[in-house]
Amino acid sequence: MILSTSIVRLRDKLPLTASTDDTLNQNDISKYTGEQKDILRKLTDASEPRASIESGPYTHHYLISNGVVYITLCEKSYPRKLAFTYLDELDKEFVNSYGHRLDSDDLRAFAFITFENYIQKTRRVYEDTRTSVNLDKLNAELQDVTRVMTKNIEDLLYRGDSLDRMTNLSSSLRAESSKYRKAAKKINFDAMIRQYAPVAGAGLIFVFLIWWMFLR
Amino acid sequence: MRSTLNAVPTTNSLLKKSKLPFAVIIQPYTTLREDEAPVPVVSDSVISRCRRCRTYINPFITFIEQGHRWRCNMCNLTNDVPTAFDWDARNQKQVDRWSRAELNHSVVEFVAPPEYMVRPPQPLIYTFLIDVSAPAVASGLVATTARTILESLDRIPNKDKRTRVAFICVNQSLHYFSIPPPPAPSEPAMLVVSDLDEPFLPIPHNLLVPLAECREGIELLLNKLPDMFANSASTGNAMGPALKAAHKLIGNIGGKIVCLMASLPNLGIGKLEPRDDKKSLSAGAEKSLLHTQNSFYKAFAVECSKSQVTVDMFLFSSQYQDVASLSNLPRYTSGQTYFYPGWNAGRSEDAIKFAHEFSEHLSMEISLEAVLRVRATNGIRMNTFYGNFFTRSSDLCAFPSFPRDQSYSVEVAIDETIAKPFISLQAAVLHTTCNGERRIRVMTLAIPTTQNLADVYASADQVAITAFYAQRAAEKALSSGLPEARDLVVGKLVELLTTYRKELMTSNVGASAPLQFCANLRLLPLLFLALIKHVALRKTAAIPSDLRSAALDLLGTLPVKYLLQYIHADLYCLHNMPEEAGKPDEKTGEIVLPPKLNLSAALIERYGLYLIDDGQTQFLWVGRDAVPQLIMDVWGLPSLEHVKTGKTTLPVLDTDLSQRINAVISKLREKTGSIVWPNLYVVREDGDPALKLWASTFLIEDRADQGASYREFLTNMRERAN
Repeated sequence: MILSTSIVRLRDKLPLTASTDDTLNQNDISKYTGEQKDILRKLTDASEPRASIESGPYTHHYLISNGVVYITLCEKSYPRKLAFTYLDELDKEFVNSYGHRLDSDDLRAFAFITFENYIQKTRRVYEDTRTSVNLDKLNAELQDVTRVMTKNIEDLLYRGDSLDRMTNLSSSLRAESSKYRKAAKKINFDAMIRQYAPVAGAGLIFVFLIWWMFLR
Repeated sequence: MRSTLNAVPTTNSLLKKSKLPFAVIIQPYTTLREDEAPVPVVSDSVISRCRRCRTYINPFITFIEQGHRWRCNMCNLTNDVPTAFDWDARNQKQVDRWSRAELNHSVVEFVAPPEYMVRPPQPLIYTFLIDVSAPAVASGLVATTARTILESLDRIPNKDKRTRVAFICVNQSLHYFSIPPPPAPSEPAMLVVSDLDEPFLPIPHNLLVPLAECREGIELLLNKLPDMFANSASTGNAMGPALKAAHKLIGNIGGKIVCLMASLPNLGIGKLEPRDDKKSLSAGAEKSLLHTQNSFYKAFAVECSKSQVTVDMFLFSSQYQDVASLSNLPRYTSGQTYFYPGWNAGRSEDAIKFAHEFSEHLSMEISLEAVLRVRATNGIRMNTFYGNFFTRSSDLCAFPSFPRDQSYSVEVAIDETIAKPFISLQAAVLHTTCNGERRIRVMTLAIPTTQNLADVYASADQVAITAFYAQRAAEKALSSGLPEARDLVVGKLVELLTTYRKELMTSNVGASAPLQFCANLRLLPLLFLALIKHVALRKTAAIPSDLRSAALDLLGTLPVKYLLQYIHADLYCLHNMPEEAGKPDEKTGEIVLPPKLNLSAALIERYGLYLIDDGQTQFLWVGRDAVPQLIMDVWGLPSLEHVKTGKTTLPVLDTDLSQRINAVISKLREKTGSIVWPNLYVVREDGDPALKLWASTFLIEDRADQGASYREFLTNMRERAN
């Protein structure tokens, strides 16, 4: 089942349109909307143009085309090929209707919200995975093999984080160790002084006595 | 936005000493549709807000450091000015920052950037729950509703083409209608669910359908609806389960549920018993009659508010319908209760009234998923909020849908001494328009401060004070009881008079001094007397609790303009109108109204023709000695005996008087901020005594059953103040 769909401009992550979800409860879906936002944040021009990211019982599928990201949340059992055909169809219709306005700078968020009607219609057509039309589409394309990269969402989200953490740890470790070295040197020096101070003092007194008694 | 005090005392002790209430009446929308009163819009999404108190930039801030920073007028923090204020990045040129709307107008609307959205903008959704039990069909409710909705389909706001509708008919079981979208054949199908304990949706799709797409199917359904239930003989009404089912249908998105009922819900959850036993209209039981009978209505209201669902109630019944319980749903979900007692479609006036009001209600450009927050200068705090909404956390008011014909008031408290020369109050409403845009409407008000008690009294706004006390009295009546509400109003008036006399009058007045009050508050005793004599609060055992509940609802939500008219009706003398009254004015083209009179029977001549209008009902009073020529001019009948009393429509004749009277009546019925279309009743002085009694209750300056006349009231006040 296709649950929620969003269309976002790539360069500034401005949301252009989305489907209002009437299948999942507001509370359940907020976790996945948060994940969707995280994924969108990490996407750049150099990212993989088509990918599926698994997360719990659901999967996020996204497609980047002409500077626009089409992302949808589907159940894990929903065929991946069908999801991408769905996204392709949305892409074609969206560019057809609004392509010329996509680059303007003063576009407000959700400016093309009327497109939601088309999203709902297309979603209904794709919902039923048993219809023959959809089965044909399943068999015809080999998207799975050639174009789609599957990842796990934890890898995507935490990869950057752990590397950062490593660099932070190592630089802090280095700073701490240089501090310790300085402190250790200082302590050693102090200990040495303390050790030899009485001996040096006694020697000085002895020399002075000798001078006083014999060389005056 | 209107404050009760136009010179604010600097300390709390001064405010307490003056005994004047400090409150703000907030009405973000004054008309039902946006284009009738447009507000400047800042469309470039550059919203500058104070870093500490989150106030929006407004005309009362000061720029410092040659305009590089601005000082907030609420918390005195300096903030940076965003670069877009001076430089238009798109056209690459300098702009004058003072031409920006938010620095020049105190009411502006900002277009909200994505940070203000929790989810994509909600589409407008209407779910109609129509009662099709025998009483409803017999009174013609079903047929009139279907026809009105059909005619108003074009008026429902649908600019973004996403508006969706659903229909559920209710009698002893729930009837759902599935309307398949084109290209499937758009023959709507009815699905009946009789399980009331766990109402479920029979099919997942096609119950909630887009209006633009499935227009044909919806029209087919509405045409067939009256015939489908024409022979229904069931008297069951399972509105409670229907409400739960509708909530399940739209709960994930939000929207409006409109309930139209002509009988008491008597099946399933939310069942109500008729409890208006005439014997129990005594003082003690009266209070409990105003409370809800069944806790379902309060609990369900909270659930609805959380899922952004609003419930409106349209109630038509000739018998007890427990308006008190049912009106809890609209009250906490920012809806409204509309009560039509004894409605019957057979009377054309009733049908026209409902059709007009329902059509206006559907075409109202409401806002969705809204929240309201009021901020003020440091040292000032919002204390209590009054109106139809749900208070989520201490100062955030949640409105699943924001109507345009209601007003709200906030009581303000002064916590610390104010050192500035003026204070500011800002109300911000974050909402989604019915066209799918997320916007913020910001209203800012600046009021000077003073340390002088005389200034505080001289600047008090009696209209705002009355409006505030009307809302407080309505709330008090529901929480403590009617006598307490009346005592609250009268007690406050006595306090004000006493304080004025003690503090502000020169000392050489004796115990038998005349009653003194400052000029700007001199109508306050009259307005307060009108308030306690109003149907909602009047001390009498003769008013049915349904009428009282409906009146209390109106007191608590009417905009100030209509509230004043509601408690103090307008009385026009029609037989002695000046020449230009009733005809269009030369300059504005508006019909000129005749002058208004004081509400006293002493001014009513025995041969005269008068019009009493309180915004909800109109009375045409004909004196018993009216000349036959007058009757002929207005009704075309030879003499007074032939004039029928009661709810009627005035005939439009060729005579000058008839034309002018009809012009005046239709002008009074045009309202830009309210959906109400008043009914006209003809009252003869020598006619039906019940009708005459009803009309004379509007003449508040006179003595009535258990109510003092204006003169007696003032004397009483004088004694209590001395």
